[in-house]
Amino acid sequence: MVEQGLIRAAQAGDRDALITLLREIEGHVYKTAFYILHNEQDALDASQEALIRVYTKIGSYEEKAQFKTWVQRIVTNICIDKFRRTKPTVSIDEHEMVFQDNKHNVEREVMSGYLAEDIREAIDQLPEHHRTVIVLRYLQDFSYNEIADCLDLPLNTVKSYLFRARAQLQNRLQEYQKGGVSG
Amino acid sequence: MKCAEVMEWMHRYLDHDLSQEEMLEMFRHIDDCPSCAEVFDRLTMLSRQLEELPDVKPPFSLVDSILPQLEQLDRGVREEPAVTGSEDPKIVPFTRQSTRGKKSKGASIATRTGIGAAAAAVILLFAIFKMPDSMPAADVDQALNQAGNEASAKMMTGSADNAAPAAAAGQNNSTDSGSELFFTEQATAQPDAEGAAQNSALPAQQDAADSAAGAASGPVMGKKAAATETPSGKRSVTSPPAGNSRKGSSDKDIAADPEIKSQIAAPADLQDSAADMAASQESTAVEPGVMGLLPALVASQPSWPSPDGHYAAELAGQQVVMYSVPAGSPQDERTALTSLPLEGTWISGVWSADSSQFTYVTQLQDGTQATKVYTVPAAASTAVPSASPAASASAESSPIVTPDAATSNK
Repeated sequence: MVEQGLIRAAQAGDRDALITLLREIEGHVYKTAFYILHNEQDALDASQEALIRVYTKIGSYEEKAQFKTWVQRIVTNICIDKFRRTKPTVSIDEHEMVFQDNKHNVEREVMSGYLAEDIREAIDQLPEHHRTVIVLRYLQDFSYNEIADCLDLPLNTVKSYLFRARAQLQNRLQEYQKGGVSG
Repeated sequence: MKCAEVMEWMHRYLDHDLSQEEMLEMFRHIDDCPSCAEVFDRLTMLSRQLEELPDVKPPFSLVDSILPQLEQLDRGVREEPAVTGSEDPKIVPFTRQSTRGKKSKGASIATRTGIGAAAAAVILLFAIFKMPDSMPAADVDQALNQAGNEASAKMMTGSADNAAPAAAAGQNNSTDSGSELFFTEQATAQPDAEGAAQNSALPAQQDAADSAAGAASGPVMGKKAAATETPSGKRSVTSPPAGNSRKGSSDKDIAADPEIKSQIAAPADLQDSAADMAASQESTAVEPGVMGLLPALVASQPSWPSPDGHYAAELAGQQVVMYSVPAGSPQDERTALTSLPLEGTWISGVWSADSSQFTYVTQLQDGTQATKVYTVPAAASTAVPSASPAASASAESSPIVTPDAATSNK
């Protein structure tokens, strides 16, 4: 996705190349942040922070890693930090899930047909690492290995996170559907 | 093949992680197992939908939005070596300079606050000390003693002669500083040329100035005397050439600005800046205490001797003080006849040719000018026409020049 020559020029101190590089990655950075944080303002903040970090740390990037996974590592770290700061992870799965489901059932009639919105909401209720894995897999189209590189996790852990995340999404969406049918 | 195992393969299938053979095996199981087939359908649908999640774009260019921060970072990186030597003047990029400016300004504000507070304390102390013996009689006695064996008549005419051209010079040559002096003596925040110096001065200092003005215009006569008698006495003792001291005060007014700048740049020498403070304080509110303590910086107060030399009008804070100067005695021996509270800002003052009336003009807050006339008590009036040409010249020139200066300052 990003030309290697551009990265090298940026690393060599070519400021224009570095800015061009940032422009090429900003969409990817924002997409990840948006789907992990599920909030435009937080996503903007996180993406800007990530781009600034790329700008200042470009010298520490080593070519043995993929540039895109290096960038996504930066943005997911920032997002997870933000996520932890704003949302206590423990309570999310137990409390909010129930609450959200009820709310969702109430709104079901109006919301029917917005499946993408359902999926987004279901993603939003995943624990942070599951969510991150889903985002990298589906929105960045990363392979297991790339996700593992990006999150610094063992391959098996990535798989299990991803499988579990998918199963959770599956169950939740199924509940939504049932709610929709019964409602 | 067990269902649990197939589940995992399903996921791997969705992630394109199954080999051709594994795929075949998995499908064979799904064909025979309705529950797994249902799960597979759902998972496949979910996965397809996840892949179809809408792309999102930032509502504005994130790179553009962070460019200013990046530029700031660039400077930060380039300056990193110089950070330890923060006084290094070699690197002067804009942002850093501004932050440095702020820093040193903060430091100098602190310093100046301290100086201002100290100055205020000194003034207060002096006022307290001075009050008891500054009753007119006591003061005159003291001044007389200080004047000592000086030839009184000579001194008298000399100081009168010197004072008159001085006043003229103050108004003609350096109308700016002259009128500034007058305006700022009101201790009101006038937006005049000296506003910059005043603004950069501290609240503490202004408090001091205010309190000085308050003391000068206070209802207690002793205080008034302290504010009016002392400087005149000191002046004739310490600075016989009144013209010089007047000029010195004008210079000081002009110097006040660079001095304050130098404080901002390097608040190093406390005594120096204290002197600067005192100088600027003197110009903001002519304060007897400071003048008494710092004879080197004594500036004469604006004074208008009557043409016959028997009276003098002096501006002290928000008061015009009228003095009677007995013939043949040193100027120190004069007595205050009355003090007239000033309304508004001083513009000009002039004696009538026969020394019987002093007319002065002030600008009120609403912008209009008020003219007031003080008439010398008839009994005390002993019209001896000894008007020196210089004095009358100053009397004539001042009303012409000063209003101009006043308006140009507005």
